[in-house]
Amino acid sequence: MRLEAQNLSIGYDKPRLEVVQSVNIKIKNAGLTAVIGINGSGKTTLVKNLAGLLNAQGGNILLYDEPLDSYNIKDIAKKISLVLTKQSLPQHLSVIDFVALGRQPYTNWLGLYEYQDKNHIIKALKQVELYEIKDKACSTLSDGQLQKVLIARAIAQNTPIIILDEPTSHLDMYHKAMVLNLLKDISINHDKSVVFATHEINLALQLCDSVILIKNKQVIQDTPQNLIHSGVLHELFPQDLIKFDEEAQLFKLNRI
Amino acid sequence: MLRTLSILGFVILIWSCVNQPKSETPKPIKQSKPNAFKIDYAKGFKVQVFEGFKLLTITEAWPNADKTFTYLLQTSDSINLPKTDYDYKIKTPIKSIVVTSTTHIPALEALGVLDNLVGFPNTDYISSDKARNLINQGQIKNVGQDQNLNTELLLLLQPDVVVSFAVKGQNKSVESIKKANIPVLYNADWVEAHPLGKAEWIKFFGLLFDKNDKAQQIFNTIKTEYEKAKTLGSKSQTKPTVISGALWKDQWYLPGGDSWQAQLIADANAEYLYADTESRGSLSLSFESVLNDSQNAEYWIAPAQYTSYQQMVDQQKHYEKFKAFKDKNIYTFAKTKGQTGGVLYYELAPQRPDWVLKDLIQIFHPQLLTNYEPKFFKPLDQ
Amino acid sequence: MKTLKLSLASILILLFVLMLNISLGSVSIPLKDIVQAIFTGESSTSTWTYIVLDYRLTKAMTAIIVGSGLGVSGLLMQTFFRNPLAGPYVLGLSSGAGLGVALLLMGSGLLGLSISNSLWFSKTAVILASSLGSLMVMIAVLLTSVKIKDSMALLIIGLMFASLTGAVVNLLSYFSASDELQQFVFWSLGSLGDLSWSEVSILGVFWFLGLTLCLFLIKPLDALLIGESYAKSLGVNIKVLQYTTIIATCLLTGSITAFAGPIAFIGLAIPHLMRLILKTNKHIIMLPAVCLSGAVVMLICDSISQLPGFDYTIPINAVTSLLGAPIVIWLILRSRQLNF
Repeated sequence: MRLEAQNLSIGYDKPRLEVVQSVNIKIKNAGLTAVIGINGSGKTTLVKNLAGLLNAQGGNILLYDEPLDSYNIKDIAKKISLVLTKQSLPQHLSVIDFVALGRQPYTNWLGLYEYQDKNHIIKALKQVELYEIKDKACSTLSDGQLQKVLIARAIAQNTPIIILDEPTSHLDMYHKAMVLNLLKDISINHDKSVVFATHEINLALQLCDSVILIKNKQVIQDTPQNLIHSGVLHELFPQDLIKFDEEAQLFKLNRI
Repeated sequence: MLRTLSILGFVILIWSCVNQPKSETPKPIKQSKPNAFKIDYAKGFKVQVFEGFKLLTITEAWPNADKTFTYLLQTSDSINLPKTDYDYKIKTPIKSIVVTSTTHIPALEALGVLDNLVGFPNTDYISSDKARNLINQGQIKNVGQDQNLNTELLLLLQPDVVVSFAVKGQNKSVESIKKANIPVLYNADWVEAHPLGKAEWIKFFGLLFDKNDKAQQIFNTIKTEYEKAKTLGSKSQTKPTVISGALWKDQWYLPGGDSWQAQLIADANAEYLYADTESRGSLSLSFESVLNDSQNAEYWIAPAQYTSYQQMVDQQKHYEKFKAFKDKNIYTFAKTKGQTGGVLYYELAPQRPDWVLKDLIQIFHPQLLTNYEPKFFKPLDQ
Repeated sequence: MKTLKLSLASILILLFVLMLNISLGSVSIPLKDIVQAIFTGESSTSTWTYIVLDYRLTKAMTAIIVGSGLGVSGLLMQTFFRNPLAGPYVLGLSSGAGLGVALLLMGSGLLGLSISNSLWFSKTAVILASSLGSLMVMIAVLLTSVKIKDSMALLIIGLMFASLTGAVVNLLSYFSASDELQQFVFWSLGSLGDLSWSEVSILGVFWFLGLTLCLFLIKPLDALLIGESYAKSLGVNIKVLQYTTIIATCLLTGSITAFAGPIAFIGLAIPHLMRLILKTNKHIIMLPAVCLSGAVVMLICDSISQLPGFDYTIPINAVTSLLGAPIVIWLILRSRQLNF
């Protein structure tokens, strides 16, 4: 079992607020897993907890069957990599410098890159098709390109688990599809467990191997097909404006 | 309408004729004698003697001042001058006084009016034994800190006059005292460039206490002693080279060529190495140039606050390179202090330049003054 | 190879500026005497030898240490707080130092210690007072960083310490005699030329320790460039990074302020200058670049402050501020943004 949450309860400490309780999640093999739920349901919090960025209020997280807090922070870095939402980056940081940072868990104390580090970096850049602009400054990239760079860095980190927080939130439809396809490709062809929090329920249902649904402070993990047919998706949102169409396996607008 | 206006105009005319300002035409004044009040060396004040009153004018309250201050001194209240002619009207002799610089103390003591001193800022600085007794008895009160006089305390003391030193621009605490109708007079003895000019300011206090003759007599004694010493000094065959001051960080602070310290050195028949600089105050020069120009000076007087050679070399190894240091020819006034730590030189030297001159002559030409006990300058400790 | 060429060029520039700095001063000393004094220990006059070896050379060494040390501290603070306005004093170190020195020079007079003693204090006492002041601030900041997770909060607390100590200094200034106040003002104007070789060596030891610590910061600070969360996910121990950065900054800035007084602007301006010229954020390049350029700029400022040819000099802080402020303004206008 690569990543497992046992009876996890997550939330905030100051003020104390429990967002989700009794979370039980299993990420066994490679595959694409989406975390979905309404606004404020705790997707980002859950995902950050799994990555080790936030501390849980109760329960355990197991990384390769060992508790997460027994790990050295550097060892976690070799198993889990992170892609967060868009943020401002230093002005002069180039694409290749940014991706190269993904190799930090493996480099020596001074951070010098060896042959295999350079290999990983170049491979990652080529995989996202950004090798040609490797010397451009990150601050000059388009949103779509920047998102690819963020993913490339996670790829260069060469971890079996990649965790993403809303990787498509600010992209146009085409690029949403592009990013999700990239993630699917990584999960299949590179043996990685990719877990991402997202609002794109329709796309997630179409692409993912497993879906984690947060509803009413509870968590359900299942395949998309099972979730669809269980009827749990119908009550996810208020039904005045959108409705889940079980046959089409999509959320659709209500005709007025 | 026209009628109303003409009546109004008539009323105004009558009213203006009736309401004459009182005592507007000043009595014709003539000076009793031109140059009745002789001032020999001081450049910062002058006195005009009239029938029944005197005008004391401070001409240089601070270096290159463009403002003068005039005080009307009279024994009775009878004189009326337009208020624009003077800054304060003082009835002499005054009974109580507050002064603000230790240089004012020796003049008061010499004139025998220390008992009239009621307040002084930071009394610890005073060295004079007589004054210290009065302080300990509570006669002289501590009225504040340097340039921040405590207005409340001063109001309580109600002195006839406060003698302060002016600075360019406004001194806030002085302003509030003036507002309380206490006259603030400016004493500019610190601006004087000649040692005797400084001593001559005893006449300033003489005027306030109506002891002009005594002040004149005391000054004449000092002047005579000074000239005697100067003549004695000129008899020496040698004219040694002299430096002064010391380093702070890498800046050397020393008296300028036009300062009273430079004048004293010249009058003691010695060559001050910075005599041709044009400053009445102090100069700050780079360490390099001072070392280059004065390394071989034979004597070194007044090295800031140092009292021992060890202290000097601990602070700055550079001092070892000076000849005067190596030959142990450094003399300081910092070792001579009053009971509460005030440096005697700052207080007494301006009033007694003759003693300073004799001290210096003994240093530069020891053969001329053999049985003399120096008053201020002592050799530096080991 | 480009790196090698660049490094050689920069070292040559440093040596050139060093020679220039030693050749210029209030006293005109011919170049041949200067070279002679350095290489043989003798020259035409012993005065000149002394000036060159025991005054100008020590001053130059101090300038190199001060320029590089403050520049590096500024770089650390700017990366750590991700704030382009941060400088070496943002933790409150110069304020702490100022408080220590103010208490020594002005406070002792107020406490009733003999006034004549308080008029002249030994250099060692001032150095110790300044170090203790900085140390106090460093401990306070470290303790606070144990409790506070957010770097931004740490920045604000540093600024508050600066205000607090500044207020106490103002209070002391108000009550102290003019002599003592003047001494404090002179200290706060900074001075490079006051140290003996043994004092320069002591300063050098702290400088060396500080810079050595910085070597270990190159890697984690690069990770910090993209945010604390990413840094953590890359294996950086944020708490250890915080402590190490604070200690390195305090070693460098605290020792420099103790021996040379507070020197304005260098720490703020040099990292920006280098960032704009080299167009990089990577610390493995920035660290040596800031070191060298800081040293070069400081030597130049010192030469200016010596006003060669005149007997007078101007305080070093005046030169660094007068030079630094327009440069920073020009940089901002040129690049339209002072990003970091």
